Order: sequence, then C-alpha cells, then structure tokens
Amino acid sequence: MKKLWVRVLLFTVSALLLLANIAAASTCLISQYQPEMPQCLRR
Amino acid sequence: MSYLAFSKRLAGYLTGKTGLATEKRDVLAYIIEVLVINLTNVIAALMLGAFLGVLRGTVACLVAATLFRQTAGGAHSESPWRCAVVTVAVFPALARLAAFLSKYAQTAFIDILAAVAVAAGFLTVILLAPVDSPNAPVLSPFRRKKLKVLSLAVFMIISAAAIILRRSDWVYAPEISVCLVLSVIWVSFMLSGPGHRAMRFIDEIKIGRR
Repeated sequence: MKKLWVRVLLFTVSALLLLANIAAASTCLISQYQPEMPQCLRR
Repeated sequence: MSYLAFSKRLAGYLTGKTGLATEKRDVLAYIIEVLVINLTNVIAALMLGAFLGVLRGTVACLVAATLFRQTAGGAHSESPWRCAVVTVAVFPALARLAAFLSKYAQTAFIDILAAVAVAAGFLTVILLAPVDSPNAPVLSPFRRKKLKVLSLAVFMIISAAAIILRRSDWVYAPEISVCLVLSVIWVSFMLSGPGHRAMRFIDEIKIGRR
C-alpha cells in the first residue's frame, strides 16, 4: 500500500513538473496574479 | 521565493516523500500556487456568472481572455486575493454587459464597439505584446518574437470568431459575439499603461487597519 502511495505521489510530481514547464512557456494564465517564477523555469 | 503557506507545505510534503532534489520544491510550490489560484478564480467566476444568468457569456469571456493573455500577457496584481476579486468580478460583469448590449443596444453601436475593440486589440498587440511581469520575465528575444506572433494570431482568431458570430443565425450568437468584443477590449486595456495603473491602484487600496 505504501509503495502504491509513493507511485501515486511520483506520478503527481511528474505531472506537476510537466505542467510547470508548460505554464512557463506562456506569459500568464487567466488571473491577474503571477507568483514569482523559479529561476530554472525562466527563459 | 515567497509562496503561500499551502503551496510551500504541499511542495515540501511531495519533495520529502518522493526524494526529489530540493531545488524542485520551488517549482512544485510555484505550479501548485498557479493551479490552485487560477482554478479557484475560474470556478468562482463561473458560479457568479451562473448566479447572474450569464454562464454562457462568462465562459466565452474567460476562454477569449485566457487565449489572449497566454501569449500577450498583461498587468498583474501583487496580491492573489485582490487578483481573485478582479478576475471573479470582471468576467461575469463583462458577460452581463454583453447580454444587456446584445438585447438593447442598436446594431450600429455594437458595430462601432467591435471596430474599437479590433483597433485597440491590434494596436496594443503590435506595440506592446508580449507584456511580461517582473515575477516571470520573458528573457529570450526569440521567445518574445514568438509570443508577439502568437498573440497576433490569437487576436485575429478571436476577431474572426466575433465577426462570424455577428452573421450567424444561432440564437446566442449576438451575445457571445459581444462577449468576445468586450474581452478583447479588457485584455487590450490590461496590456496598456492605464491598465497597469489600474492594477497598481487596486494593489494600493488599503483594507482595514495596517
């Protein structure tokens, strides 16, 4: 059960990192607030 | 990096459990914050739109503004809460105004409004886009050029959709067409200097005792 949970977390983290890269390609999303983008995502 | 407490806590938990490098924690906190704030704002705007009886129009305004802002950018608020108030209030209000105008305004007035939107949108995209934020600067000149071309393409697609809908027989076409026109005006305003000053003004409004 613990192994499965770690796999779910790994999948979630991978999806979030992919989304972070996709979001970094646009100037902003919908709303008027832009949190500080980490240096490694800036391009 | 200053993120909200929930983003930092969740990112810390995910990093710890998966054994990820610590520098990825900021990336996770960033994307969690972006997703949660944007999803909350969209859901709240849709709920307010439904409450005002303009859900369809609110969806049209959100889609048009999202597509446009993805590439063209625009003014940002420094506070997620003030941003939420602006986002949640503006899109249902634009949809409500569009519903009113499509029902009661003369065709000539809507045509003039559409012409103003096209002119304002075209000029702001050509002169200003992409408008980046200091928190997420566009560093590469190539990427800047690409975003300008893409924002011009998005602007042309939205304008074409508004024109096609004006000639369509679909019962909701006039309302959606005016929604697109008003969204282009809103995003053009957010790209401009007055739009930035308006967001700065909202950021400077004092709420309660400090």
